[in-house]
Amino acid sequence: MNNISRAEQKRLLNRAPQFDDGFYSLRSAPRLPRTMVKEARTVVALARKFTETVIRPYTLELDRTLQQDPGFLPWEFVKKANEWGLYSMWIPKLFGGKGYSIPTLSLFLEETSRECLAMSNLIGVHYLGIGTLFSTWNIRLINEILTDVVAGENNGEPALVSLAHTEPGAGTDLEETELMDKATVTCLAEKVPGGYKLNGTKVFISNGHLSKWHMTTSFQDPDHPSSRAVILVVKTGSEGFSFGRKEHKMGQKGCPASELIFKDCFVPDCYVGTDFSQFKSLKREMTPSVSQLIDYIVATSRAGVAAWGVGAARGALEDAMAFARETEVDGKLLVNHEWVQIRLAEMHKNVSLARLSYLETNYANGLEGMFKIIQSKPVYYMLKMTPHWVVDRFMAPLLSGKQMTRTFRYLQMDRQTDAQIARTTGWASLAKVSGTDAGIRNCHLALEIMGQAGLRHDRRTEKILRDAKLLQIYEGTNQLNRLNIFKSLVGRNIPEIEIFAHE
Amino acid sequence: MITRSEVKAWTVREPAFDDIMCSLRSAPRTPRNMINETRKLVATARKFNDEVVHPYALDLDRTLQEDPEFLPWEFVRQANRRGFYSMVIPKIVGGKGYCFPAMSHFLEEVGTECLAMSNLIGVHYLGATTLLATWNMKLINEIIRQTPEGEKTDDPSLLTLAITEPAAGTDVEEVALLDKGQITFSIKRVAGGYVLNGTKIFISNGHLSRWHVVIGYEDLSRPSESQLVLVVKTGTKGFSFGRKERKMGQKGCPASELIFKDCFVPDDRVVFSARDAARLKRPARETSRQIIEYVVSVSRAAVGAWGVGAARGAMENAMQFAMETEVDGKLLINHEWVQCRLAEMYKTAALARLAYMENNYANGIDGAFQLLQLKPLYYLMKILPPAMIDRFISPALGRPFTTWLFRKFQMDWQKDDQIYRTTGWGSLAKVSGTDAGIRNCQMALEIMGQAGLRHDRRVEKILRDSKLLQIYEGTNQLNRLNIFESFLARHNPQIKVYEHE
Repeated sequence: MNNISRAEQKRLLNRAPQFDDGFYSLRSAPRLPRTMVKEARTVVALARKFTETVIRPYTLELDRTLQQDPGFLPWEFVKKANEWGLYSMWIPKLFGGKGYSIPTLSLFLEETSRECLAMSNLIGVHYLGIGTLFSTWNIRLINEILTDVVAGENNGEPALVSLAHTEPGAGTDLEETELMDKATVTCLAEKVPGGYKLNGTKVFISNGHLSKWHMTTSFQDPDHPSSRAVILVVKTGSEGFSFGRKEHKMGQKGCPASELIFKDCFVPDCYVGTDFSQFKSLKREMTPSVSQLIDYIVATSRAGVAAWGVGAARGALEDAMAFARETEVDGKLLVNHEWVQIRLAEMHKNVSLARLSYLETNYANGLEGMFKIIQSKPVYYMLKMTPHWVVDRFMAPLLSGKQMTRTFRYLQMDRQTDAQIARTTGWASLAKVSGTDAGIRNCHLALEIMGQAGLRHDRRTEKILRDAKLLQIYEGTNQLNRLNIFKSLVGRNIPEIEIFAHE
Repeated sequence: MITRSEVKAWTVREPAFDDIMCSLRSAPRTPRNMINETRKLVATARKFNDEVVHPYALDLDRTLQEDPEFLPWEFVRQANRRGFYSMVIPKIVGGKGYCFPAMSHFLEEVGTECLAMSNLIGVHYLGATTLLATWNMKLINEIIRQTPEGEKTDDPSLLTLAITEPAAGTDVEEVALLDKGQITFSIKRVAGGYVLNGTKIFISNGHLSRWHVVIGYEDLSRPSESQLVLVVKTGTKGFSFGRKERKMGQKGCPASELIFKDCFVPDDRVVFSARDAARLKRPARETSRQIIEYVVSVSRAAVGAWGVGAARGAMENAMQFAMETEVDGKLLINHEWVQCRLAEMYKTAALARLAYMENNYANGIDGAFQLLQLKPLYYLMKILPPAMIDRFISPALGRPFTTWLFRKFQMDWQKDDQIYRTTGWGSLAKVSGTDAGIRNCQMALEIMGQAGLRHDRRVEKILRDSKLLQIYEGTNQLNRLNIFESFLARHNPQIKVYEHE
């Protein structure tokens, strides 16, 4: 059996399914800084404490408040989360944050969403904005915005970041460059001296009304959006920028989905995350670069959405379990009926599998995606050990130079291979579908165990179901994500396959 | 922000951090070289598939349909010559010492082409694992060492596990059910050993194996407290093979009846008895359970891997079909509904693979592979030449002290939580993998329509083969109850599992 040559082994392992398309947990094991295990423990504990003291007592009340007053904004909760330091927890120390490793954010989101998806979104969506900011690898701008977020935490005025991407006529289409060019985009950026002039509307922008910074995607050419995409940072209060209505929606009511309206809104050059002129120097053409940027965003954000799905699945399981432990049927506790035990086991299995899928996504992002540099052992431990003031005094000033952006873009964009892009985004879609489907599935199973009691608001599960349904839709519908799994992992190397091809 | 004692208090709450984060917890402890080993075994399996398994898969299945008595000796010899039966046997007992978790991936790969042949290799390790689970180092060394020797002499020395009885299958896999099961296999103490009477059925590889690891009970009124593990060699007086089952799938792998009639087993072939149990920390019943859980925590990962193999086989065949079939003027594979369905099948297989990998991580930090994968020991075994090991280390295995030490470490020091965690993940992997197998077969057949029903399209065989996976190694329903007990019920005294009026 030992007669396999190195070349032969390589050839065999490159056959579909390629070895490197999977095995992320194993492959990343030796590279994983040991402290990340400890961090994960701390974060889970913190999330549980926060959930118990802040979220759980407020969950149902917040949902009911929104039913009565759809205009309500949960400022008080945001301020509290800000006080707990949650908005800078996963910002790298280099930019003034607490520097917890980003994969632990998923664990935090699962724990908190187990009690309330809306409140977990009020925290997590901020990092969707930050993920977008990071995907531009515009280090100077990243530094400026994140420093402001940290300052907002210190002075008690939350400075949240949102992602403004979805448009009235294009949701899922904008998550995929191949569909983008067929979509009807209306949010247009026109180059003017000193900056861009922005016109159009964005809808379904989570945390819109609550955020200070809006990562706004826009397009210079509506006929070929992907070849002239522009990412702009717009500050609340800018001239020509205003909030429209808030959506009335099925679930996650506590987290506002806002309309953002731009009317001749001027955005100066220093707030351009990236555009054609900045991407010109990259190895890839504009459209593939935009695609890479979007894949950077979704490869991380979909892990978060998957974690929410797992949180929902767990919430449903735990509520059903609590119900079964206090309800007697035919003279014995429901939890001691074998069919209920088997069903609860099935729900536990759904939770566990879906969790593994988002963990695997995070391992993939650590090995081949967004967290590659920050999790490489030398960088990781250097940042851990260097005191804050040293970072601020000696390292931070370097971030505003152009050289930094150039280096990061080289390392993270040019050096990332197409296969790595496909794998990280493919796994993220896999996690997203798995997590969110598990959420819905477990809600149904839970409601079936609970019977009429489950329909009552105070039993919590009906709210979880309403909340969880949104997860299957946003961040790319699950059907789009299945196509992305197909494109990225199943049929990636097969030339005769056509994807997104419609007559 | 949060104190150390708070961290502890919050993370032991359910779901306990240690229960749900096995891959992360084991990351810093995983020897880097395990990645290379895994790559190597996957490549080895793929090569073996190309050369042997793929060309033979349908042929073997049809041979068995025509001649149910056929025994696939030729295949076993091939596998033996390639060294597959000692591949993950630790170097200390003469094997090649590849890490155990890599075996799951090997079995998955071979399972994509033929579950029967993958069983002909994997079941041997079920026997070996059962020996390992008793931590009787003297007998482990004696028996398992014959396998690599058999590889050199071209005389396969396979092991089986003989546990299932005519009236008790799932019941003997769960100690809580043991005392209610219909157990008829009798073991009586006589001077110098034991006398065995009864039958064991559905023993995979029975007819093909040299050594049979028999699990039985000295006192049939209290089986759980009198569990015995013995080894019986093919050819022993009073031991014979009965019929071979005619079954739905995995036809190439024989399911044998083992008949014992006044079969005498001397004391030196007793692997574990009540006397050994008496020297351990736990009560006898708990020890019986611990041994069974050691076995199934490992074996269910393998069954999970077979399920994934089936799920992949179904998907790959459906994909093949979709790439060569035109519907409405375009290839089936370019129809969006087919793409979504193939993606779903890919996802199902990928998730189930993560489940058995997690199971293996759990076994590495909390279970059977703890010592083997401990970095200093792992690398020591890698570095030392086999001659050195045979000369200086192996002789120590015969000493009672060594067995005492291993049992102290692996049995007395294994916590109840660790037992629950490893067996819980074993069941989770088993259910996930095997359900994935069946699910993907159904989906593949739906894509393929009538063509899928044909034997030469391979999927109908995979479906027949994978149905067995949901039944053996504890039915999936039993495994769900084990998941419930291990993860959800164990800290709740009000909950009763396996209780029937």
